[in-house]
Amino acid sequence: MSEVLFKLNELTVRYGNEPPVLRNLSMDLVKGSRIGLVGRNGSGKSTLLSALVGLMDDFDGELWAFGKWRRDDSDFAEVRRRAGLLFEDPDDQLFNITVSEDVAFGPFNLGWPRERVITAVRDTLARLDLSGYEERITYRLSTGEKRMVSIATVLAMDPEVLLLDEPTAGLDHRHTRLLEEILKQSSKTLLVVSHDRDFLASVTNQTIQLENGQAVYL
Amino acid sequence: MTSLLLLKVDSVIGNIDPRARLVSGFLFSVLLAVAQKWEVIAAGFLSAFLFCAAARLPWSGLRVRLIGLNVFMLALLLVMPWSVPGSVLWNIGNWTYTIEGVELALMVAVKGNAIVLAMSVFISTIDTASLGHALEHLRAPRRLVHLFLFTVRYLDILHHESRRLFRAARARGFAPRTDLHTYRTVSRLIGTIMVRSLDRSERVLAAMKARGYCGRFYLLHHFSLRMSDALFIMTVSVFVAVLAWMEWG
Ligand SMILES: Nc1ncnc2c1ncn2[C@@H]1O[C@H](COP(=O)(O)OP(=O)(O)OP(=O)(O)O)[C@@H](O)[C@H]1O
Ligand SMILES: [Mg+2]
Repeated sequence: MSEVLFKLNELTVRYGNEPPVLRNLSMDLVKGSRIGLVGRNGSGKSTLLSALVGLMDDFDGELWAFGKWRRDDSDFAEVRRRAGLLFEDPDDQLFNITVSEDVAFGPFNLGWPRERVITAVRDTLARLDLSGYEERITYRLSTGEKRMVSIATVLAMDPEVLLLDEPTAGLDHRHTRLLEEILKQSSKTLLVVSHDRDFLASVTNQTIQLENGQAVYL
Repeated sequence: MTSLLLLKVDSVIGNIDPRARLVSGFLFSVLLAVAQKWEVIAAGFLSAFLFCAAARLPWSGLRVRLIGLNVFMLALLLVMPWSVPGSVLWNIGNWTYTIEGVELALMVAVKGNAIVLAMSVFISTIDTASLGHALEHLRAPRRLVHLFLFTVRYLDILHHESRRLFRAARARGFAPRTDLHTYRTVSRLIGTIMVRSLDRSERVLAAMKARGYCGRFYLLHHFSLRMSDALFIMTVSVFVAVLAWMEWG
């Protein structure tokens, strides 16, 4: 039996006083698994990813991550260092002025020494075909460029689990292939939201569908 | 938005260590603010002007600042001399407009212009990220530095958000006129900008936390003093020293 990295037990998540988006949802994310997360628009896929790293202020039920039950913001600090979350909207993800500063942000928070951070920034950008973007202004990039830089900010931290929210949205054919290759070659645990079935079929081997706030294994 | 705060230059001043520029701007401004002698103020104004010219600051950027300042100074010239005692120039009943008052107002105006010039050349040429980092290196309180960096970043978000929304409105045929529809649309747009910017700032905080942010910022680029910085510091020091000597020597 492989190690369970995330375990959700009857998780209920809502925004304010609205009816819950996720309702008594239970699921496991096992180490090394590669899961595609699908569901209609508004079914709660992005909400689920945020909840996994403790970004939904308020939830009912239990959430197990990396060997512990987690509840408060402080419980999740470790989770966020070990699981990389790619936001759906790159404008939410990027907040530094230059690309290199943004990519360096996460690695610095991990406490890596400066030399290692600099190497990680350079290597990650190179892997994603972004060499030469170091000093570009993040908010002046094109949509697809912003997406690639957002991916770089997550990969640079070398997390154990990748939680990717529509990573290919806005990418051209070549960059989609590049990302596909990178994910296929990686042995990390994956939870990927995407509406691109070909992409999901090539990088994941299981599918979970969100329906009425619950997880259905397909 | 940023262009109001930041002057773009491509001259030597852009390569000088931001810390040196920050300290220079500060020293110059303080000196000019406390100076009482006309020759010191005039010399200070002249040297600030010389620095601007040497740095080849764009005149268009300077003009906006100076016009704004001098409209205010003009108002000061109209009002202030009435409240300073001295030899009477005009009077309306008990109210007197004095020569001493005019002199004081003019002094404030020249000082103000000199300080704006000095700040423009020394500080406005530093991009915001470097300015924040320079402040942090100079041991300014960290909270203040973060507040500053975030303010600038969010001014920018606000600016972009508003540009996006107005563009979206224009794309669907909105043209501002002086009618009720325009006022309604604009007020709704402004409301939306506020709410969306707030929302966005919350999501950015979430994004920072998601990447392990725990209240500390790290600087990717370190500053190091070079020969040109040393030359710059020496030049500014000479100017400051001469001015200080003229004032107090
Ligand atoms: N900040 C918010 N405040 C209130 N309601 C929200 C908020 N964010 C999302 N919702 C609501 O929660 C529901 C789920 O949203 P979520 O973004 O998780 O959907 P999704 O499955 O990711 O959809 P999509 O495929 O369109 O990205 C939606 O009905 C949405 O309206
Ligand atoms: Mg979504």
